[in-house]
Amino acid sequence: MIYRARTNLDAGKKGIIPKGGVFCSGFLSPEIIEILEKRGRILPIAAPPLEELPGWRLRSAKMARAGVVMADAFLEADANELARSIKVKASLIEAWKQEVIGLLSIPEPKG
Amino acid sequence: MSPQTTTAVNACDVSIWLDNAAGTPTDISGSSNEVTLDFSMNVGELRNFQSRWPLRLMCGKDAKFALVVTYTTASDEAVDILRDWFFQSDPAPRTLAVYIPDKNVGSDKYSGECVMDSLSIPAKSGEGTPIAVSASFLPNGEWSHTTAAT
Repeated sequence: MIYRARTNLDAGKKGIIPKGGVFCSGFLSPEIIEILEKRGRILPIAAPPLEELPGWRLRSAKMARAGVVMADAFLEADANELARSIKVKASLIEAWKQEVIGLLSIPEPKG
Repeated sequence: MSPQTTTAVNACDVSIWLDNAAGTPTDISGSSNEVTLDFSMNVGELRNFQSRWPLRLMCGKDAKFALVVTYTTASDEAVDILRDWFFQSDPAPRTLAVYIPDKNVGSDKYSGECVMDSLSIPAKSGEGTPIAVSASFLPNGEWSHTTAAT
């Protein structure tokens, strides 16, 4: 599951998730997610297929061969396993995850 | 009729954290009893002909923070930290964080760097209640509002 922050979230040592930013359910514990969702501070969002993201046509085909079609499944996938299965470095998968998070986020204007 | 809110909170469990001299965030809520976060906006105004009402533009933001603490004698409690900060030969900005309504997940956290603007210790003879020390701070850089997620 992917969530969008409806306010800036202070996740302590993990950093701040800015308002409009997205994160995977594994980023915060289920108890914390439950409270934040109940208070309306986060919302679950429907993730699009990877192939619909700009610049992801070729990469989504690769991911599909590894059984990963939707953006949320990609973000929650183990980077090492996925890297082995499509024969790229795990660091590249992590960079791609950040790219997808960026594409799904709605940045707030500074200030 | 508008639905009535069910989420009003009071300030009983507000949590205030201030860096001590070592830069460690320290919970001073147990020796503090009032905090005011006074945010302000720099507003420019203009008036054009043939209108009685001004137009206004919003620009810079600023704030002033006030804290009332109880004069205690233990180290690392509010008055000790504030006094040490003031009397440092070269005081540096410190981080102040205020959690409302409490320091639990989902609470509002207002935090940022600030400098001390004033420290007032009013000692009155014939006054039986503990000494209430007041301090005020000014932000140094951007302040933020976040939701506590830890």
